[in-house]
Amino acid sequence: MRRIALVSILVAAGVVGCRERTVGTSAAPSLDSAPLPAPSTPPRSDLSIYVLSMTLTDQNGEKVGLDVFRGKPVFVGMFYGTCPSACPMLISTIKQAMSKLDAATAAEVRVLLVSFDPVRDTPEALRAIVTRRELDPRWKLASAPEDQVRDLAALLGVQYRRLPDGNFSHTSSIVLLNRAGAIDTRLDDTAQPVNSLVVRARAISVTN
Amino acid sequence: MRAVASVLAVLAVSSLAWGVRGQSLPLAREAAMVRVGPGTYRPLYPSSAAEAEVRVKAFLLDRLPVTNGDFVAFVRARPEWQRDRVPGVFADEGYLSHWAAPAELGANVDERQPVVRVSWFAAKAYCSARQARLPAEAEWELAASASRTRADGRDDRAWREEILAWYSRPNPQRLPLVGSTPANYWGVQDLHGLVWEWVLDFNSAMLSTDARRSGDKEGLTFCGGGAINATDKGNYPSFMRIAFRSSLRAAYTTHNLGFRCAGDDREVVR
Repeated sequence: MRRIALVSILVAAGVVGCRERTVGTSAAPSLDSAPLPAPSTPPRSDLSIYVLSMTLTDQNGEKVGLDVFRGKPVFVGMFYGTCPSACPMLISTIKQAMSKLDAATAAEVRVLLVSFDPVRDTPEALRAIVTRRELDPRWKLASAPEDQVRDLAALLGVQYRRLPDGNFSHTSSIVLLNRAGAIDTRLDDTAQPVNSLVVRARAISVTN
Repeated sequence: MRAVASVLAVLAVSSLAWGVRGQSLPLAREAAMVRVGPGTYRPLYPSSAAEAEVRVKAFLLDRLPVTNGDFVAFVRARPEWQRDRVPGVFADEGYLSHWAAPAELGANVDERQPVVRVSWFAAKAYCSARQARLPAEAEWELAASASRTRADGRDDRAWREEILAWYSRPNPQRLPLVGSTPANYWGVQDLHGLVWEWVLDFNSAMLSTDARRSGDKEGLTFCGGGAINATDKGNYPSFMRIAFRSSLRAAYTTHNLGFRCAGDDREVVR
């Protein structure tokens, strides 16, 4: 019995972790119907994340909503300014994707990076990153209150937590939103090729 | 004795709780909270030595899971959370689908059963309307680690076997009513043996590596590597909960996932 239980748990843990894009909703607290995922419902096209009420403070100190770039294709990511390497890599990956866009698409696309760290990522700190990384006006870096950060991370499928030393452990995803704010495409590993983001950004750009 | 005092104090405070939008709904008896902790939570997967033990401050926790009766009162007061109106990003299509109508339980659903098929966003909104919040994972696990007689029942082999037996039992055709399992040391019931429960930081589970190790992080964080790091390899129930939570997304709903609310301890003092 104990062996069966352990095997079931290991299978469950493995499946939910390694195949996380396909997990579903049918987990059960019993071992006879072990907590294995089932296919989730197909993605709907009307799922705009702009229904989330947020107050973002950007690098210029302006207060804007999550839908500040409504009507544009938007690359959204989450980061924090004092992050040693994953977040610089996130920015580099988005820059790389931007550089591969054709001129018409590049003029349309916007970037919104929201910080996990509302305490340290003040407008001044965010502005310093914009300067250091030579980010053009299409980029907006912003902070938000802690509870709103949690909501946004939940909507974007980003896992994170604050560590005792004030740093954050987090997954790095780049999410492409369509003009209405629905998730079109995501890149969950910033070391992977950005082609899918480039192709889809162009596809959104040519549709109205 | 302490638990009883807490219940009374919290009831006095919480009777105001529904009046956020001018709706004055009676607080269901089931919503009464008890004080839990302070205590120390030992995560199964500490992401660093500094997190091997997490101090949890005393907090308030619903004695029972939120019921269908509680939740139908909520969606009547807040129609935007009814299943035909909720945005798709906040709850998937299974949301409250077992009810007869968007604001009616129907004959097959008992108001004293724990509410299930609720998303994280919906659970959060409910607790917020009660001027409460979802419990943090550390808080929930601290409460759930108490046996009937001890604040820390994790070394209580008989109790652990009992929980595992609950987890091993098939889901009953009908969910039992809340309050059907004995109170633990803190006076909290149904943490085991009824339904899974949402926690506030469900999406922080199993992060034991930094995203900076991009490329290899999935393998290190989620797959076999995780099991090697477990601090308490005999704690199957905790292992299962972590596996389950890590499979969740905030809009997901399922037939055996419910929740209860928590609050900061200072509300009792105030």
